[in-house]
Amino acid sequence: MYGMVNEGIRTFILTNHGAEAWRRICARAGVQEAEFEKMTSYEDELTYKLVDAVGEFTGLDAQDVLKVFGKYWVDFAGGSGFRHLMRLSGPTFIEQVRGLDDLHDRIILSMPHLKPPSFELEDLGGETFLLHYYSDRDGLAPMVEGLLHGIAKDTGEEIDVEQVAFRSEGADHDVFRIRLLA
Amino acid sequence: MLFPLHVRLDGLGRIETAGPTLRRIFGEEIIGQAFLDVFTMVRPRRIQGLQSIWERLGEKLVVSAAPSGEEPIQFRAVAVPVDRAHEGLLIDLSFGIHLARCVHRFALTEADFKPNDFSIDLFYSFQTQQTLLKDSQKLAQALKQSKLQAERKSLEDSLTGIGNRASLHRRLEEMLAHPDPGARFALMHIDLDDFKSVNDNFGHAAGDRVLMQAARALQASCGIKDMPARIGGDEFALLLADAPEEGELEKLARDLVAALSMPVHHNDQSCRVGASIGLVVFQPGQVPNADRLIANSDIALYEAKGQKSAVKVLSEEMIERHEKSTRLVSEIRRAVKKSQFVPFFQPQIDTLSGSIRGLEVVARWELPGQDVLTPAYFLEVATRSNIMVDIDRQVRRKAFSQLAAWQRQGRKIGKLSLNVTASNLRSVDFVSVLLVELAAEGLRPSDIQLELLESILFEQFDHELIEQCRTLEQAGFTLALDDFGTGHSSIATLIDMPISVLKIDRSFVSGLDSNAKMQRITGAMLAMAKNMGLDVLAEGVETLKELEFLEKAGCRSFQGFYFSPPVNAEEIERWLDVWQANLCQLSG
Repeated sequence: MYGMVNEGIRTFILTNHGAEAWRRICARAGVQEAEFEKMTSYEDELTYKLVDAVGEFTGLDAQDVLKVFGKYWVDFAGGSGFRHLMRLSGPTFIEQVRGLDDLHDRIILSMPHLKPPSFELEDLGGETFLLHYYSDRDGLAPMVEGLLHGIAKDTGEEIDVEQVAFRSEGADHDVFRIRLLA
Repeated sequence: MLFPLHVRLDGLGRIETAGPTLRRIFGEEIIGQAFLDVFTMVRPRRIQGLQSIWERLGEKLVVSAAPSGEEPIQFRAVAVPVDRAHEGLLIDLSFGIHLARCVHRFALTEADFKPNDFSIDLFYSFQTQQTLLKDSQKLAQALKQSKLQAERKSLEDSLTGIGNRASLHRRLEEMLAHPDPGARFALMHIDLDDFKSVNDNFGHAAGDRVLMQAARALQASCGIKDMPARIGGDEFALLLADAPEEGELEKLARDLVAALSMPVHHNDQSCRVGASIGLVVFQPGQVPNADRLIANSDIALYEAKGQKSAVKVLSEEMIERHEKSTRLVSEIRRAVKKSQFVPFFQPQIDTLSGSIRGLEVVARWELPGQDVLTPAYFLEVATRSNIMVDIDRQVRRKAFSQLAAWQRQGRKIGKLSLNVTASNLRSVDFVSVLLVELAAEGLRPSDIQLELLESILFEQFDHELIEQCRTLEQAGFTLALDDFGTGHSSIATLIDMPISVLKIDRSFVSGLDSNAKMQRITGAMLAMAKNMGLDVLAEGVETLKELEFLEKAGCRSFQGFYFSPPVNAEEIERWLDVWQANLCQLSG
């Protein structure tokens, strides 16, 4: 996982819970790194440990932590200059979700070791879509749900999201049904 | 060439023609092959067959292919119909995320790109960017290493190489936050006994050696998860990550005391310290933080130090005692602010002449509406908390003021006797402070007798103290040796010191009339003092028989309850009046 994700978790904790909380979370996760380089690749395991420790600290289960963090991620990544990349896809929620793979392709040009997920939007009509989410990593689907809400918040739209297929339950990949509300 | 990466497909999806760059990558054999045999559709994912491409004319596609069976390359693609009959397709490709890889792998040049394709320019930009990234990562790595090294040093005691207070604190916090609530840890708080005397007598190099040996002894007692730390000058800690049962733990601590008490050799000399250990056993979340834990272990250590070379496990009683003591310290501080400490006076009498030699000043705590408290209630706590200096000053100034008032009234009360501590004597400004306070009341040093405990001379006697005593004598003060006989002063000490009065301790006076052995010792002490030209005052006289024996043995100055207990200024005035009246009657 690129350091940017871990740095996002760190910034999220520092912003919402303070430095002492971050120190405790690191101690709980057995993580020595006080901060992360955004463009350096870290073991995925480290991120999972951090998420677990954040869960223990906040009393939330790992899925809820990922949902909250996914929503926060859009703001965090936007603040890091990625907002311009997202805007290249277009100003609406659907355009930005459709453009996620392009965004990752563009980032890969500078970060060739990145193993990004892939998103594909299927239009069911009536403002309803299926989002197909493909990833080499397990257990991050809840973060996608938060991420979608984060993008909608950023574009000023309201959405309803429901996961309808679960890779963890044997499906080929995770699928979310998205309804545009406004 | 406008489309160096294009393929043209016939109605069956076979490649009829291909652009020169594509032929360079795949070879001429690409011609005639089915497009979907050479290329795999990457995105959109869920489409199959040529028809799907026909359904996405003009849309962005991502395809990949593995030239010569090697690593696959991704291309961006867009398909447009070749003719109006929609029988053939033109698919124009461009390098996608593998641009840099392709340029290197196939040694592509600008001529292999469309004249208006900007991606070759981006290639240079990416190359530069990646070099900069590598440089910055290298720099970041070096900075991180330096930071880690600095952090390690900040958590290490520079002399002994073991952990310091900060690292102990951090580790304790980790243990308190340990996820297993059943985990059991122990903290040993260790203080070396008599370490100061090693520094004083053998020098600081020897002191450092003792500290290093102590650190080694701690390391030798450590398991791999345990942590030794030096947390102050001669203060250490040992953190046990898996605490055994209390009995075994105490044995471990006692073994450690023995190891720390081994002699240390330095420059052909041997020096030795002892150690006291306060022990706390704790579990995650049991106390709010590391500071509280260290404070608790310090409470146990304080109890251990009271016995020296002892091991004490923290108990509820200890915490209660400590809290009581802390409350008392606050009360004493408040009392000092409210000026509740006052002088009481006990007469010292020359029975031969019947005159008053002087009054000894003792401190009392007058709580409004309550009993007057003696030093037994506050002395130890006040001394330990460094408040005794303030109490002494308050009592002394009031006593000086009272003496000045008596002198103005024409009362003959002799000298005021004040007790002096070793820390008073070591204070550089003690003499000047006394002189200023006396001058403020119009008094002189000759109005004052300073009483030094014999134990000061025995335990803390040095050249500096003798010099300070000489300065006091030269300034005009009279020096008396208090509690004489209870310490172990040598005659030589008495010769060196400018002492003019010996106060025989009450333990040689009490029961004197009925103890023949005591009578012989006291008699010998009086004879020795007489031969040395010293005045002798017997304190603690409580009965007429004691008084009569001492008078027969040649003593003429006395102090004790037989005459008067210490009383306040008003009462001592009444007592003095009565004494004077009786004296007049006897002489009249």
